[in-house]
Amino acid sequence: MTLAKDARGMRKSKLSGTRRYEMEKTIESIYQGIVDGDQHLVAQKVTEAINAGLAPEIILKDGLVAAMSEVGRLFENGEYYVPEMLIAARAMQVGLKLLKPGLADTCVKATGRVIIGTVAGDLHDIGKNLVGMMLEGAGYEVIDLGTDIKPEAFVSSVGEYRPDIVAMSALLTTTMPNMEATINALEAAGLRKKVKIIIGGAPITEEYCKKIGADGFGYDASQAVKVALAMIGRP
Amino acid sequence: MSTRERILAALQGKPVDRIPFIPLIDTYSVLDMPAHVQQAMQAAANDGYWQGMLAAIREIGCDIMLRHVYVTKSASGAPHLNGFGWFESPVVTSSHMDGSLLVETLETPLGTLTGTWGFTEMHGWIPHPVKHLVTNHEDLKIFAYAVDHLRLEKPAPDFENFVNAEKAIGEAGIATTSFLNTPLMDLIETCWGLENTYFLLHDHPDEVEAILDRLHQVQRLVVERIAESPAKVVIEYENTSSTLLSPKIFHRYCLPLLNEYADILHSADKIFLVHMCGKLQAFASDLATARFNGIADISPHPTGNFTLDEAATTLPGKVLTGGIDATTFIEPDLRRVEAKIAALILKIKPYPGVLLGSADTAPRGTPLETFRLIQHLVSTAGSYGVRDTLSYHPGEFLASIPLPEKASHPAGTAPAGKEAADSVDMHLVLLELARRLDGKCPEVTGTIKFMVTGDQAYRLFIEQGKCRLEISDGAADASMAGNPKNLLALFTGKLNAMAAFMTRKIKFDGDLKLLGVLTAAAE
Repeated sequence: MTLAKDARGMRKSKLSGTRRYEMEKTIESIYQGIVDGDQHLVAQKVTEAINAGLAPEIILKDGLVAAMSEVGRLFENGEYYVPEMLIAARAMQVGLKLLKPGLADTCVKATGRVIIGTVAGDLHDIGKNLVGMMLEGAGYEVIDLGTDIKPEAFVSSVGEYRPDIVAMSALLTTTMPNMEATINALEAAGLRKKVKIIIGGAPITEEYCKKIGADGFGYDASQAVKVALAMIGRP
Repeated sequence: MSTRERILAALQGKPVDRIPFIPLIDTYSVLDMPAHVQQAMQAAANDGYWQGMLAAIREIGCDIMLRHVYVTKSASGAPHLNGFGWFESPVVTSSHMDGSLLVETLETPLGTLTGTWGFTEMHGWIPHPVKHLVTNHEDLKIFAYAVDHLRLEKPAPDFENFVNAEKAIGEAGIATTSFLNTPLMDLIETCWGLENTYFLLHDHPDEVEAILDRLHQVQRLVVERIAESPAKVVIEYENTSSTLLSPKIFHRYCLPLLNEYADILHSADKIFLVHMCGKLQAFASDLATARFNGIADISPHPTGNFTLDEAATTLPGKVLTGGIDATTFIEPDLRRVEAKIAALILKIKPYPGVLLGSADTAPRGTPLETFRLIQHLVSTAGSYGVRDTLSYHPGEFLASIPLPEKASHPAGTAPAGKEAADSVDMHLVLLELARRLDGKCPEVTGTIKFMVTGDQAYRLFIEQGKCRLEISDGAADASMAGNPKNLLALFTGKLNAMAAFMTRKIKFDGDLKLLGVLTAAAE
């Protein structure tokens, strides 16, 4: 796997000389560890970077987010599939867990906040979980409501968490109408205009997305991230 | 041909008088059906699962290719855990309901594993994993111990069950038997889940592969028993999809096993299909060389990514069933369904070894009229013999039946009655024209454009008699323009070309001699 520094937007830190070179190598290792799905390497290198005083925001953006962006690219090119994406996302989550206290201390803002769930009547969660992981990898704060989420539960969660995006998943033709029911419930609660809504799942099409008044449709997990970033993508 | 003869011929890639229509009907499909279908199913289901499904399919009225008629006695105990087979002492399985959850337990001297499955009414009461049995390395060790205690012997036969099903069906169709997916897919879908399976396979490949190998040994014995059975057609429910697998994983962990099962079943002269209802494009090269006879329940967009005609081209020699996705079945505008299915039927014609059906289970909420419409289409547009496509008149069937309230156009603008009968889908007409003309005039080369009022432009490319239709505008050697009704009248000989020209019903341009070849289509 080649590593294009310019493509992943390595940021200049205040470090210089040999130390800066070492930190860049560490970030590179984090990046490569995630792309290769090596959770142990990622844990080791993120710890090293934190201990060396590198800003958590830089580790997040140049290491974790850049790597998951590369994973998304490999997925779209058909070089990576779901297994590789999952292994990479797990490695990313290991790094993110280590970074979280530092990110909270420095008040680093997430790309956006997403609540995600599978709609009422539907217990399928594979697609939802993948989208959640990829959104996390893009720097979003993801609140996973789980499966079989009724419209009123989506509404109360929007009230509680004030997300930027509501992401809904459905695998069955019988449960996908509950996406529309949820949108209607958000409308009735006066919350519809406060959030963007993205949907996805096996029977979902662009046409259906427009029909029910959702804001975006993700054909797969990688596309879902692109759609989300186009809607809410804080720099 | 009887339906039985037709289905068996199609499954062997032999000529048939018309394409069969064999949707996969499950209890889930029947949940919103009219009362008489549900009552028939429930009454018959007192005798067993296949009896109920057979009664439902008869009420629905499509060709019968009955699924899941077992030829072995299944292991009793926890439904999912004993799907792997019989566990020997000291391993014990048990199950119980905890509220709306099915709890299954696997007890071993190393420890106890518990998995739960949930139900929802909308889900059709099909259990779905909620908490997986194996989630970490410690669980993996316990599971490995348990599978090492799976009994290695062929399951007890229950051939009489299958013979009874075939007798009950008679010439109206066939019964098929089935077995579970390859071990990796089974772990992904039932007991371990996607994430746990891949994480454990990544972190502990030797241990997971040893488990897969043991489960394969047990599965192989099931297949050997099926090979001895009277079932002619065997379907393995693999659920392959690139939403669950990579081509590399499929190639390494699934394909070799499927090939091995195929060899066992072929040695007993069985037809072996693998149910693959997901996105398959990524596996095309492996599927093309796989040794099983065909793929059941092919799914186009959006649930899959392979149309029947694409699959037929990409996987030559493979038997294919399916092709109609769930969203088409629940489409309320039956006129749209008709246009879509009729176009599909004409597109795949006369490819041998194709059976039209549902991509995976026909979904709950499918109007009964949709099944009947498709059955009508295969009997008219889908006929290959004397009763050929000319007996298909778009809109005719829908005009002849009372449409359910659901089937009306959402905006209330759907043509009905005579209006529907008058409407013409020119794509279908031109596809059929191209099919009839194909190969008839080997000396002819040229391009004819059809500009259809209110429709798109089509171009018919003729290369030394070989015909290909495209929906495209652009240069052509000759063209004709008119409304669908007049063009259809011209092609079917009801409107004379000269009269059409003089009355300006149809405008002709370019090489009129080339247009003359179209008369060969009517011969």
